[in-house]
Amino acid sequence: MKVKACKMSGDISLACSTLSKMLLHAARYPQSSVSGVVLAQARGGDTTSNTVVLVDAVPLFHLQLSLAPMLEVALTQIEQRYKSEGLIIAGYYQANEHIRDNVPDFVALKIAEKIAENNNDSCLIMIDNKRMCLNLMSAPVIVSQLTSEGKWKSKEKASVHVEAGSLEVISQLLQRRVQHDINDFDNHLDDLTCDWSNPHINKVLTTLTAAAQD
Amino acid sequence: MAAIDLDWEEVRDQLRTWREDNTRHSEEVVDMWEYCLRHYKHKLGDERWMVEEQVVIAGLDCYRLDVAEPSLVSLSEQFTGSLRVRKLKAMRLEALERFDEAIDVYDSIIRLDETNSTARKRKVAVLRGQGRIADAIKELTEYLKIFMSDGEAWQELCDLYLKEGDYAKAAFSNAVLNGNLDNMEIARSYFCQAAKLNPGNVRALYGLFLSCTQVSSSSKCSAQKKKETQQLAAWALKEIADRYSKCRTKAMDGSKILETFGALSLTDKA
Repeated sequence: MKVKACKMSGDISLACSTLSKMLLHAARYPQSSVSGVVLAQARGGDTTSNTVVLVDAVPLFHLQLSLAPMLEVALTQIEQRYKSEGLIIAGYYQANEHIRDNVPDFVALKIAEKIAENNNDSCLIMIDNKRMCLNLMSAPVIVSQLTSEGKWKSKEKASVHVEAGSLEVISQLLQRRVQHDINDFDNHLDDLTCDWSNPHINKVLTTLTAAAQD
Repeated sequence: MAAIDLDWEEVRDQLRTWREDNTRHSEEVVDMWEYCLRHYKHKLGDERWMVEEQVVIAGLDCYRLDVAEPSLVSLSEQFTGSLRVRKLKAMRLEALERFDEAIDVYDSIIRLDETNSTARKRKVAVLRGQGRIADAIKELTEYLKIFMSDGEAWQELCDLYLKEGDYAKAAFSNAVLNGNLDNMEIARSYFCQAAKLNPGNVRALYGLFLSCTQVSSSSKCSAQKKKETQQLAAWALKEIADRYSKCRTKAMDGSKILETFGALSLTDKA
């Protein structure tokens, strides 16, 4: 994955895995709002790149998005799990229940702010429901970051990049209704064997991405 | 999706189960109807009409009007003047986002039958669909004055309050279901109840653990209550760790749970 060094305050780059899981999660629960977090490599000493690469996503909830205890449990488990891979929670995504509503609500802002406390580059990603379809031409997301005044500002379209080939791959997944296989934290709480890191989805993505490159 | 391979009687039975459980499987219902059961509708006897109704609702849910509408027509012809069918027509208007017209139809049903709870609840759904949460809350509160034992409605009210960010009122709605009024203690009793009713419920155990942790770290908590609550928290955490151990899940193993969350219970939260 090529990463462009950018002088401007941060471009955002979404890996195929990240965008896929967000959209599959939203597609699995069309009648509800859904939420989750996105992950990035912990910032080492590398200050040459201003691009934030979001390498993966972990779907959280589709039932009650705002229950503090469950959120706390989820974030704690996720931090623990990915620590060894050098990944940190780098943002929050949400799809509202209403098709035309892509505005972050009270819950989204609160959670995104909490995550931003540990990470200035944190993103707040709203899924643009009405742009979800079976043949994606663009990534149906609105990505925001905090300004120096502490306000969430949405990034220009040109600053948000998506891994090459992702849209085709995700469209295929949606056409094949793979969303029914994605697990979120709510599923995990109902059945501990549901793995919210979705390794089976990662597998499918690897296969499809490889096929696309042939 | 190859429902055409399924025995039509199996499909019929599956649809019946979903009706009885009142669960939402709209995509599957549409598929099963389209690729199988509609070819056998004349074999369904009296059950046909309940199936057709189920198909209308599932079709509307998936925005497959091509599936919903023919069934709606069949039902209209079979049950002319029925209020139950009229409700389905209003739901179709909802799907088409013709919300004001839908509300008019629901109002007409309520005028003809004041005891009709479904039409009233659909009105709340329309308001929610329009994003008019405050109005939905108002309408639902009026409904609950008449139908105060409707558990589903209290849940919905709680949900609506949470959407408005009104945690105090949400807690109250929840409290109505649980008979206890102190905010944090409500959470605790709710989870306690859930854990009792379903000991396998990890969600309840986590909720119990965390709400106990919060209660016991509150400055208002007496020494006695603190001790009891901490014991309850420790018990809950151990139960959770046990569940994970039994599962041997990769996501998190039992010993890690105790380690990770054990630390939480020692921290005093502000």
